[in-house]
Formats: sequence, structure tokens, C-alpha cells
Amino acid sequence: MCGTDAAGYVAEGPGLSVYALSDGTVYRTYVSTARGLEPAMAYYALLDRTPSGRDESATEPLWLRRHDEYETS
Amino acid sequence: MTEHRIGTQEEWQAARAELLAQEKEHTRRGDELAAKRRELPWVPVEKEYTFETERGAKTLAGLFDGRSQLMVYHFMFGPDYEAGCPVCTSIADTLAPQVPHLKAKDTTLLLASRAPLAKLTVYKKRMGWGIRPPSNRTRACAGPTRRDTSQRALA
Repeated sequence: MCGTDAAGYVAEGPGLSVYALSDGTVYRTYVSTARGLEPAMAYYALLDRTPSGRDESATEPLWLRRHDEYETS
Repeated sequence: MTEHRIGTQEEWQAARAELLAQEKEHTRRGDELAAKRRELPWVPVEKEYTFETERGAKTLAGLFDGRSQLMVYHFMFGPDYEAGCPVCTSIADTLAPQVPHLKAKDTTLLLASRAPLAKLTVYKKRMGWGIRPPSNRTRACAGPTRRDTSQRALA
């Protein structure tokens, strides 16, 4: 998680919000967080079709990196 | 030598057919859930929000940019971060190329963060994204993408 300290990291949360504009009024129509965001994580759906899967673990560090921080590409 | 179960082509075909039926059921169930999403009641946004964007200050209505639908991803980039959250970054990698397709369906897609706009602009350039990241001037939990525990439970 380089670039973010632990305190700063937990102070934020991801979320997807959807709004509609009708006759000048903004309406909130949908909100999702946590695993509800997986449609925006295309690599998970693809890895779900491989033998090793997402390879997530409660004990191992997350393998995911910013795309310019992998040692090999 | 692999420890995985080894089978014949015929065994694979039979197992695949059984799985395919379940995959199709999953797809149909997804269609039903999508329909239920569209049926949710709309809630008027009463609070006035202001966003700093690369094209000046905008209201929430202004973010629609002439379209009737707006999708805002709250990207974890706090004011003190030196770089965006790695997972949010991977999500933005997925989202960025979708922008023209969503525009074609009358939908504007934006990223919103609490960090100053200048930081976001530098990071956007580093990651090669074309999404304009507005900076939400209001604080995290008051923002339009505030975390909603009832929604969280559904996620």
C-alpha cells in the first residue's frame, strides 16, 4: 500500500454511486461498496476462469499492485 | 506432477455441461437483479455539493455534462495520500476505457476523491487515464458517495 499510510487508508472507503437528472433535479438511484464493486474489477472475473483463481488469502499480502509497480509486465 | 484431479475428455465434457447449466442460471439471476436495481426508488439529492474539476467548479447537476445519467466512483485518495489506493487504481484501470461506451448510453462516468485536484491530476497522468477526476470539497461522509450501511449489507 505504498503511498498511503494505514490511518489514511482506513479513513477512506470506495463506492460507486449512480445518479439520474430529470427536470433539473438530481436523484440518487444506486450505491454499492465492497464486493458490489467487483464488476469494476475485470481481472477478478477473468481470474475466476483460471485454475489458480483470484489467489486471495487472509494471511498472504495482496498480490495486486498499481499497474506501473509490477516487477515484470 | 499436479495434484489436481485428472480426467478424460468425456469426463470433462460431462462436468462442463453441468457447470454450464449453473453458469446460465447465474446469468439469468443477474438479469433479474439488474431489473431490481432499476426498480429502486429515486431519492432527491437535497444537499448542494461543489466539486473542483479540471473544467472548473461544478455542482452535482453540472457533473452530468449534458447527459441524464451520472456514475461516480469514490476513489480512495485522501488529502494526505502520496498516491491513490492500489485497488481503486486497478478499478480505475477497468473504468477508464469504458467512458466512451457509457457516453454512448447517455452516461457520464467520473472519479471523485478528497485529495486536492492538483495531486489527482498528476496521478491521473501517471496512470494514463482519461477520466476527469473531480475533487469533492465536502468531507468524506457528507459526500454524494458516502458509505451507506444498508447498501453495504447488500454488497
